Amino acid sequence: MTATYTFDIFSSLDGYGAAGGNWTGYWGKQGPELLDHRLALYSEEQRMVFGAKTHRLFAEMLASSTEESEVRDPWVTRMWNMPATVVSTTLQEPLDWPNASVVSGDAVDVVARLKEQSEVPLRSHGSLSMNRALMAAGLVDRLQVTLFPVVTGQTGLDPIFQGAADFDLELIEHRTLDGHIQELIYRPTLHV
Amino acid sequence: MSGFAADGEPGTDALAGMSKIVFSSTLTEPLSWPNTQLITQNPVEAVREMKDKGTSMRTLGSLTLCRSLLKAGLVDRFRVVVFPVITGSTGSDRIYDGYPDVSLDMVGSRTFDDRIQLLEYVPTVLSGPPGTNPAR
Repeated sequence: MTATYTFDIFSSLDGYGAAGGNWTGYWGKQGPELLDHRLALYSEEQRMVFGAKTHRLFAEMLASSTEESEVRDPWVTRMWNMPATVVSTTLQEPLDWPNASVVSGDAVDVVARLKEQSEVPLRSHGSLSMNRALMAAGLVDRLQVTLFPVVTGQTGLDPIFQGAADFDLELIEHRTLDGHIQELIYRPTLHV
Repeated sequence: MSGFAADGEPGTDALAGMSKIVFSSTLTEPLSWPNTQLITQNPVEAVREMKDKGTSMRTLGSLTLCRSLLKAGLVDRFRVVVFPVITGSTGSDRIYDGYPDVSLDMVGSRTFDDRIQLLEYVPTVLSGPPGTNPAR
């Protein structure tokens, strides 16, 4: 029985994972239903998997944050404190992260091995280039897209599927949160 | 679209009977598709005038036209149907290229055949150069 791997990503309607300009976290569209749902998702026992860049950005955001910052939201704190594997060829332990270990090597090999060995589900948030490689290798079981109600044609950053392969998707779950945020969970299969 | 209709593409029968407008500076009348009016005027001005007269309109496809109308603040409803595929390698005709930043209020969502998502929004174009407008 292999562990399930979920790629969890936030996106604008036009497929960007982040935005410049004066957009704030969640594009300013978060509400109580989203935040409660996120906390419930991250209350289940699981292991996080991150790429090196996401880990570094996240550590920087947390270091420079204030009490009111989105990076201090309860679900984010929960995520930060979960057991985590950071896939990196450059980072070295010890990390400034409560429960994380660094595994050096190719993400596809590392995650394939983790899926065999882990007794809890695996989850990744962000980490676009790593997850693009994992999807192409057929290692992503669930693609969880949270679609925020904005188009960022001028300020969008980090297109979430740029450079991706082609996939057929099976819709497994969908819900509307706070009346305007869509959560779509798909099972991806390489399109041949 | 008129080519699809001429070839008998399923679903185009209903469109034939509807009143249609085609914006073009190159097409000439007579047009082959029934009930089609050719407008050579700037579409933004023409649509604004028709809206002022109370005409309801909808588009299908027409990415460049839609972008112009949306930018001009003339779009009241933005309806997107999301199909369950990723086409990172073979996708063409990117919908949102050249769009402004837009805030959306969701007014409807439906799932078809357990896999296709229809999302309907009221768009608000965020004006000013990028980064200077308050996110709503």
